[in-house]
Amino acid sequence: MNAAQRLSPQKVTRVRGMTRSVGYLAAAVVIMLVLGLPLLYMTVSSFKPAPDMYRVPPQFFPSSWTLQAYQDLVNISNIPRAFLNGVMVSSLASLLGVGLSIGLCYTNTRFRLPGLRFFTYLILLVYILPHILLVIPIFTLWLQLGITQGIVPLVFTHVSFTLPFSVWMMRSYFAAIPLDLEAAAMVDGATRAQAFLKVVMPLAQPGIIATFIFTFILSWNEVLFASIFASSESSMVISSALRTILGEQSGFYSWGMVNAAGVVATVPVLILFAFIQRHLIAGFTAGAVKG
Amino acid sequence: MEETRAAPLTAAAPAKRRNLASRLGITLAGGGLVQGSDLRMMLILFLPGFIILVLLGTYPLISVLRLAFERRSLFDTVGTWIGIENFRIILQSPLFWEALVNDLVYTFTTVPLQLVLGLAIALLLHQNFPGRNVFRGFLLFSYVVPTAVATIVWRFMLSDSVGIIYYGVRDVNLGIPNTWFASTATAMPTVVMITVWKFFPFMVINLLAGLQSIDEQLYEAAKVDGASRWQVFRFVTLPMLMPVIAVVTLLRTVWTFNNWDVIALLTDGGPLNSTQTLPLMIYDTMFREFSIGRAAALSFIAMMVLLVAMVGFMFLYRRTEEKLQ
Repeated sequence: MNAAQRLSPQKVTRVRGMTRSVGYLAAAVVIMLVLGLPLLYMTVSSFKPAPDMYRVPPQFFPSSWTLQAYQDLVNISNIPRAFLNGVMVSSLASLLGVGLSIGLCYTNTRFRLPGLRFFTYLILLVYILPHILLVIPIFTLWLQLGITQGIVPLVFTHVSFTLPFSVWMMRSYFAAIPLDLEAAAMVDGATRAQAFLKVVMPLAQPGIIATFIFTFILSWNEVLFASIFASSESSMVISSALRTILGEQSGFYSWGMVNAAGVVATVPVLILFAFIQRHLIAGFTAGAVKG
Repeated sequence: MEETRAAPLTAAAPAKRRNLASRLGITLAGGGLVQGSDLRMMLILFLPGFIILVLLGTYPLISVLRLAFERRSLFDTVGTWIGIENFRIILQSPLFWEALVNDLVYTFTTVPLQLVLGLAIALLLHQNFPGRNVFRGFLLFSYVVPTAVATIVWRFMLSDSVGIIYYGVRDVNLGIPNTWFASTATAMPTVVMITVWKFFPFMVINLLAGLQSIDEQLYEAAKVDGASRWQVFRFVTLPMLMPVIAVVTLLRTVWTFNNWDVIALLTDGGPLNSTQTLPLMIYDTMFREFSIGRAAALSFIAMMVLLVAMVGFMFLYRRTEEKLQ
């Protein structure tokens, strides 16, 4: 409803416009419930006392709130360990991926290189390449090196998607920094390296941080490589731990613990996401609209 | 490379353009020569990432092609050449055909459903109503929820011992089968439903961005010409949105056909292989049957299916684009 419409003498259009808005709002609320209720149910169920879990029919909200499931998780599962491992793996994989792509994005927007088209296609190909098709080549590579378990192979394997993704997302941030700014610094006597570090990098920083957080989330959520390289007790990361807990849910782990583990895995994503929500939209569109 | 090297060296080009960088075809983006020290810095920044990307783009195909013709177990470091034996075994196995059909069914139900739902919701969120930015933010959030968590939630809600939906459907008697993951008839539809739930926000986010980039003037021109709402959608919105639709459909098709985690965590291919797809078969062949050679042959087949699908898709896209204009 804008001012012009409100002032118009035709009240009919106004009423029709309002009913339409209410209709849109109602539809949007339904969509939000469909998306949100399952996650809300998981969250409240993680605070249920054990008997609540097996009440027939199940109730949405707990009869009383307890942290028992979280205590069990800390005491008898290796979620705490997996959480720390996960933070380590995702940070390192994102650091490597983003670090390497800063160089790529800078040189690609500052220099005219032969075969730029080929380079763009290459990024697109590697970005699209499904993980399952990388499993055999990458696993056999680590097999030959004799390291098939642990954080080291997982970090380097995750670079296979953090790198192309960050080039894909970060390029537009670098392209938006005017060439003149660097040129001005260099006229004033700065070397290209100084101009890069003192002029370009500070300006690209928001984009770099947003990209880092996004690749962190991608790596945190990744299940396939995690189940292959991080399946032992000591090397487990959060998603491979979730898979184990879910697999043994009927036996060793209770549904309460499963739900609590789900909450623990989602909270970091939620917090990081809150920081970059605005950038996230830009990052997605850079990929889709220009693709 | 030869051509770019020769071009600036013709007689017309001034002699000062002959430095190492320009002979390699490298110049500044704003025009001008690259100095020697700058070239060194450029190469240091460029090459490490570039080499990794080239390896990622080429090595998997080469490696898979080599391994596909070998008999080799997960515990061997060398294999023996056996020709097309792996492919013969795979193509003769009924399980492979079952997995291929399942995979095609899975892909060509979830992707169109996501697209239609995504387009409808993107159009809705493109309208002006109070609180729409909150909804957009929420949609993005649901897209970044880990897949493993999404599968936990649904297995919990549909479980036949504790599931809130399971007991709800049983007590209310909606007349729909209440077997979910447990029967061969309902397992695939259930997996499809959850996949659509998890991934349609991706469609909405991208289509919404596409809608926002359409020039307002086009809508105004259509209004002046007296176009109906449907005509505006059909002759303005849809054609302008086609490039985005094409990209998201292609991406989701590739990723759905090769999706491992959703199905692996929900059903692990069961019951009785009713949700077994090629990615799960590749994983099982590799890590449960320990046969690298056959897993590689399967990967190669999946790559080829993908290639055919992409070419077919490009062809279809061009046809649709012609029709719409």
